Amino acid sequence: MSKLKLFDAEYKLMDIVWEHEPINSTELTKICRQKLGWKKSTTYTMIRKLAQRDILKNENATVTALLKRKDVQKYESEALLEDKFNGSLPAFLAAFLQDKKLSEKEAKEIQKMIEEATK
Amino acid sequence: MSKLFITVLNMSITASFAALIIIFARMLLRKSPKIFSYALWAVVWFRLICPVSFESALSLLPGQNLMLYNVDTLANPNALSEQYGAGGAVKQTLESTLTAVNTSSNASLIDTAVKIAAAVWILGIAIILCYSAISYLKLRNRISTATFYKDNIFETDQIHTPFVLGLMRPRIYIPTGLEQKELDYILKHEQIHIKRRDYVIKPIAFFTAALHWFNPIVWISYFLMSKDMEMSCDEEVIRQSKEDIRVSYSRSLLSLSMKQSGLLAPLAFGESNIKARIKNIINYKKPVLWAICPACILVVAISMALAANPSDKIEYLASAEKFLEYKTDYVGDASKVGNIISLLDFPENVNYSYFELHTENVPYGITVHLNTDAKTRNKYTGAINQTPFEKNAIIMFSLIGNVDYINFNLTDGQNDYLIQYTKDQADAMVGKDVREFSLDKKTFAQLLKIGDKIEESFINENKNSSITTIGGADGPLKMYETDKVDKSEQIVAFAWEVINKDIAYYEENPAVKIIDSKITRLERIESFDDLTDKTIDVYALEYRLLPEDLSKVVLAGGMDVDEDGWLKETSSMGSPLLVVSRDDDSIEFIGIVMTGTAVEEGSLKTAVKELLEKNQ
Repeated sequence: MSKLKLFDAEYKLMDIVWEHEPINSTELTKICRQKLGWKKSTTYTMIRKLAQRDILKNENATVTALLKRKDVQKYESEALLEDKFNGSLPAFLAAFLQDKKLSEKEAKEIQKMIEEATK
Repeated sequence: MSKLFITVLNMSITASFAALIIIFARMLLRKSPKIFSYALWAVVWFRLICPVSFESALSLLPGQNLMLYNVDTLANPNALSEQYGAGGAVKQTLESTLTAVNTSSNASLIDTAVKIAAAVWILGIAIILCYSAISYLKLRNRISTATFYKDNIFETDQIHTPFVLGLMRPRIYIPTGLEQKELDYILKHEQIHIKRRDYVIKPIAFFTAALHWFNPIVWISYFLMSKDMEMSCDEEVIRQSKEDIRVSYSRSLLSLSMKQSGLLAPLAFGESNIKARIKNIINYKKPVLWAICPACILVVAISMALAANPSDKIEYLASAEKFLEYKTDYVGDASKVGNIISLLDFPENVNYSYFELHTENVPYGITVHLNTDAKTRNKYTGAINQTPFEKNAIIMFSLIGNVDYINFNLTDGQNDYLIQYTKDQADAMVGKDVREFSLDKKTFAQLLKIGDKIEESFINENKNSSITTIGGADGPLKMYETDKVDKSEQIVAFAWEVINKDIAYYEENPAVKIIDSKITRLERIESFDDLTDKTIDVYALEYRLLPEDLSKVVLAGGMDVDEDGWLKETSSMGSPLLVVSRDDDSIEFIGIVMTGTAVEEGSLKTAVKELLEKNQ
């Protein structure tokens, strides 16, 4: 099975599931509140989303993982940002509001500025 | 709504001036810690939010009421006519003329324009609020799965720049996967934001800017303020650190956030202006006391000067503009004359009632009828107190072309008191043709200032000669000048003593009732320095008494009635002359001699001498 990439929050939830499964969903919300600072609704939403993707299942208020820990990997945060966010705004708004990445050239200039200061 | 819009517009204009000055001041302060630049913005936001302030002559601002005065007046054409006194027919005609003038198409056009602009303004605010609500909810959604890190810190991979969010319990949100060293810096930075309540300041600033969305200077200020906020925060991190972390801090900034945040994060802390920030960090030196003091003083001085409203001089220009609108070449232009009078400032307890034009024959005159109470009327019988009327007379002479004299008639319903000024006097007071002052707004503002100065100096110095006028309503009367004009109040009091005795005499007959009385002449006709050690003045007194029923009055010899049914002061002995002795600081009523006696004896001096001897 190909490796699935999970967002940080998804991975953290799965971490708890793997550790405690099978686990009562109410119990799970309590652990999430304690460890992740999540509200009940946040946890249930997350469970539902992961269940849709067949990463876990939630039956009779019991949560079990469908994938093994070794089969998934954590999404690297740098990679996700652009694609994820670009699609969600109308193009003209995006152009106006989108954070502009520092160009390579600018970054190098600043780098040089810092290096010069260290001398 | 239009009114609110104009208020905001006025605040916007004032704040823009403040912002421009602060942008300039920031340049002076660019070597100083950025906390000073940041602090400077407070006054701009004060100006953007608060429509009122205190006044100070040291204010750096031009007058805000200057710019939008016209819009305001024209938008409320009725405001002017409301200011009119209760003067019967004159008032009525005035009002109709006024309304006709002011509700002309021009005014209603401006009115409509203001209304449309106000609607657009509200719409703009609504759009911005919607937009920020949506982006806020979006952001909330993105960080809903942020996981607890420690204390008030949450991490999530859904964001790429750290920020603080929340008004009541602010939380720091950080991206996942940060290195420990970077994290240390970031947390320190954000904690300083929290400590300084920046997370509250920024949304307030944003919503204020939204209120003034039409003003680009406000947005520039908003972004510059954000920049100063971040830079001063960076400086604080470095200042609090024991080691020199400038380089490593800069590296963290660069590696972490090669981003610039735009509008999108009005409520959060993005990383903005990385290059400028890093430059600032690298050049940052821990401030020394001698460098901070001048910056402190500059910030405080500028803030005070910009928070204060300008005093006086602007008001002069504004009211000059109002007055000049009604400048006229002809005293017969009742509408304009009425408008000018309605703009005049009368003292407390003196209310404008109506005016009268004397335009049948030259000299042309205006009588302004004023209602007051007996006490106030008596107060203004003293020349020293008449300066408010002097000022008003000057204004009127300057604006009304061919008027030769102006009367202010003070009445308490019982007795009248008339103050008269002539054009020549007005010219003398200002030192040149008073008309020249009405050529433009600036010079007229000068005249208003002169008027106030005359008023002030008279009150302060309480001396000097001036023109005192005492007289009746029968047309232009003579004036006289005296060195000790403040004594004239006393003389009027003496005159009333005499008149009241006469009234008592008439009313000995129970059928007679005197219902009104007025002085028609009170004039110094002679002065003797050689009779006693004090100076003896002789005043001619003429007055009129109005009986309820003239037919009941038994007219003894010499008694006379004028064409209006008023009893004259004359008797078989002639008219009374008041004899008064005065020196530098006191004035004393000695008695009266009658003109008849004086004439018969052939010499006024002899009669006065006799009176003095009788009194001894």
